[in-house]
Amino acid sequence: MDYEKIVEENINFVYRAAVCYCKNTRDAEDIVQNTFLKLLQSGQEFQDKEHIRKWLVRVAVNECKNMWKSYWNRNVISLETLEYEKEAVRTDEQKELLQAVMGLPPKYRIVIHLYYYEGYHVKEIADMLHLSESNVQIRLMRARKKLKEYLKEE
Amino acid sequence: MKDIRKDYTDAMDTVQAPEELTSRTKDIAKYSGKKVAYGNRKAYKKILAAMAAAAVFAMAIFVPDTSAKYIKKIFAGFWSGNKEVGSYAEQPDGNLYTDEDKHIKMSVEEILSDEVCVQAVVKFKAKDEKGIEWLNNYAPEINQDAATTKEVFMHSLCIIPDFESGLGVGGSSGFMELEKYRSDNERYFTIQYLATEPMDSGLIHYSLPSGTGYEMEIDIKGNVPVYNYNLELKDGKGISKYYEPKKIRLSKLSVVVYGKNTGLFTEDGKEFTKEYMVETDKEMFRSFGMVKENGSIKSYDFSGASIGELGRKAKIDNEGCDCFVLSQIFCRTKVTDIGSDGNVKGGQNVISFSPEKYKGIQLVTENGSATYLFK
Repeated sequence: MDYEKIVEENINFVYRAAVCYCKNTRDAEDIVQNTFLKLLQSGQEFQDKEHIRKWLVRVAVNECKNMWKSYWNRNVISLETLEYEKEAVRTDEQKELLQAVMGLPPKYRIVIHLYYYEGYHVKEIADMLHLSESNVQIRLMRARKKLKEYLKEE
Repeated sequence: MKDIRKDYTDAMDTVQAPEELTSRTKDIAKYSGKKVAYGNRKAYKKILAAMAAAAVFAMAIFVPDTSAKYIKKIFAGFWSGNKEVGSYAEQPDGNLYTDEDKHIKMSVEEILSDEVCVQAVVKFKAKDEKGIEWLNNYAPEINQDAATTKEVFMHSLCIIPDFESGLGVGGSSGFMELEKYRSDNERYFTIQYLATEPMDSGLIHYSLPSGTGYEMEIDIKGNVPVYNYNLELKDGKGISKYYEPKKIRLSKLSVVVYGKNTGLFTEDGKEFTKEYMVETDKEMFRSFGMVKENGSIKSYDFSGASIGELGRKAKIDNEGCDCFVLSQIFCRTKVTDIGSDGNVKGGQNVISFSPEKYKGIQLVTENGSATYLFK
């Protein structure tokens, strides 16, 4: 499969997941590059496009976790200063919701993102993140609850 | 409840990978896995930090008083091997260096240094209502997207080596708030850097209500014992065909291993070799262990970027060495753990490390492991 085409088809997918996890475009860019570098180096054989996507998001999330663990990368840029936040044209509701989602712990954010934005089913998210289905469901439920509380307060 | 899916989808639709990132990512293939060529984060920081040497900021007033005895007292928790360093709040008037304006007094309370790893605690104390307001809104950050050096540190609180006295030093710098000690009129931060070469002079960047981008020179002469050894391969194969570990520098704060290039860099020393870049992933350190007197090994399995520092080039002022192999902070490497809820915690944990107890080091990569004894 053509590498450049894989990049074109998946870079926004990986980038959004990374932004969602890191809340930081600079880190997200590093995550994207490391993820695609690992794709080149993996020697993995993929069955189809969906297989690649799932592999990419799993690697990206692992990269994000490693980045979080590193001392030097904990001082993330606040949501208000993100480039995409400044540039994007959004309604108040969208901004409010995005703020709420980004305020969730990373493990909830990524599940919410994959479920609501990418449209994956619970089972698929469980496969990608190496979680049980019930764990994904619990995270979704807790994330929704937290969002609900946050949005009510607002 | 609002329509989460629709609003979230609409909002995230606006998040697009920059064209330049797409282009760079595509280019990766052309270089057969040349990782360093693609905006390597640490290389980027290193360049910024090196540029900082030339930056001239407003000088602050400072009062040096770095007696080793005082520092030892302040870091009592660290020296006694306690997991928790709890002395910050009890010793609020260290005042090793201070600066202030009408509304805020900033003071460097504590410094701990082995000259490669330097840690300091900085306190901001409000003097009036305006100071309290400023303190509540104070959010230091290293602006990694800044176009100029001045902007990088403008709103930052950090410590970096004084590059003018040691060109060629690379490293990382970071800060973290000690949330535990935060009150309405006081905030504490710990700042830290890890360099590849020993330095005795550092610069702190900070802000006050009267302005940002202030710079203060501080004495960071070592105040912990440092052990230097030559390394000798115990038996079998070396850890890598690309370099040979030759020397080690140890303290309670950090370990740095230097080596001899045997394929890591091209002959002119400017580039990583293609062969190494292709195999980089397998050459990265997964962990390392310290060999005790009885031969058993205590493993230090740090996940995260700092363990995979293989191959960063530095001007090594160390006989027989021309490359930097490994650098790891021991003290407070895990200052902030990720909690079970996924959030970053603000606690301070010391990783107890006693260099005098060990007689060797075991390096571990995906390709295997090798043990080197101290000579």
